[in-house]
Amino acid sequence: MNASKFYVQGELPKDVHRSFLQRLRLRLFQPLRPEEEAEERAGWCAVGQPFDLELTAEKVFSGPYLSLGLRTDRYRFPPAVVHAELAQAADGLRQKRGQERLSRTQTAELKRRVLQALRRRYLPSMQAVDLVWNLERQELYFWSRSARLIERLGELFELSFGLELVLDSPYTAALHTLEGKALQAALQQVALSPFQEVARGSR
Amino acid sequence: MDLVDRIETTRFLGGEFVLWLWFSRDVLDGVLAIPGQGVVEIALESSLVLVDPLEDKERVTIRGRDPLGSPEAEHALLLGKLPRQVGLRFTFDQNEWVAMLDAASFALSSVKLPALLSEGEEEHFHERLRFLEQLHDLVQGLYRQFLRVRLSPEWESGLLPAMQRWLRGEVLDAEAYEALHAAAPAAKRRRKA
Repeated sequence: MNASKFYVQGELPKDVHRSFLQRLRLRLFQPLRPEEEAEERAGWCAVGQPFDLELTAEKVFSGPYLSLGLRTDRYRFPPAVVHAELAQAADGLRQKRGQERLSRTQTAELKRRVLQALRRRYLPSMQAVDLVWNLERQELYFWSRSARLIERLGELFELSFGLELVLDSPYTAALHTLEGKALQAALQQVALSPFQEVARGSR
Repeated sequence: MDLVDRIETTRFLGGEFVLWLWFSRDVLDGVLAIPGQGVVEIALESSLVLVDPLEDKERVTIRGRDPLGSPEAEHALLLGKLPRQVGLRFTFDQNEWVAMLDAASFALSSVKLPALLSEGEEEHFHERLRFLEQLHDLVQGLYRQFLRVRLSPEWESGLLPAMQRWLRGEVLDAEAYEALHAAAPAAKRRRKA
């Protein structure tokens, strides 16, 4: 099991369940459609159920926990296929128009059509990662350590809940664990200790 | 300095924390008391990565039954490297957790939780999360204990010199260890929201 831990920053609304459920439904995952230009989309789904896009209080809330899946769909075409399809379409258009070279606008339009045709032929790849947020402790676990997914989670989380996620680190863990002004002030001044200067060549 | 800068410039605290865990395990035979939480048995095992805190590319990876007891680990410490990743085994409240701790990010990977005993899907879910949170609480509790001394004046005058002597091969007894830690301000557990 690999999980990333976050601290949630900000005040929770008064009616957490109702408010969050409404907000979540605004950013449910919406499947990609071939006729759209979008090549990638992310949104919320039920925890452990990437195809379940009907979030209810029973599915989302359990005790102090809020559980969700972050689903991301993405069209990924092999570059060689895109290149070959584009070359073929460009040949066809050149012959049809009797042009030796295509203009930039024609090439861009051709690429748009080729990609749209590919989107009709291929299914998007799907990735779903679960998260569990302890609303009492304001801590959240996300079952991935991918920097790309963590960034996407942060963006969607902030849009959905109006709260900020701060990834665990020695500094953030210290901020959350230390009490007392003196220790907090010392944390701001702390510098690397010289273990090695004394240890070097003497152990 | 903003939050992002401070996070980046204090990642060495994680390496120092693991070195302190290593030191504490040696002195206390692996049994540490965490104020407000209880007694935990700690084993550092299976894998160890040491990195020069000033030159991130310089790293030594050691695997095996006792990577911390290897000459390679000792040599890396003498060259000024700090632990970056370490295999942890915690025994607490009759349960056992295994994980890899990344000292620079505090990320726990390859986590093995204690066996789940509850029945029913929801109970299973809660038990699993409780164990995961307990593991993070144990790391947090130990880190709090380390910081309490690390950020106090007693660090420079007492514990750092003791750890430097330990690195030179000097043995510290448990009583002296407790005295060094008792001198720091009392640990307070931060209340959860």
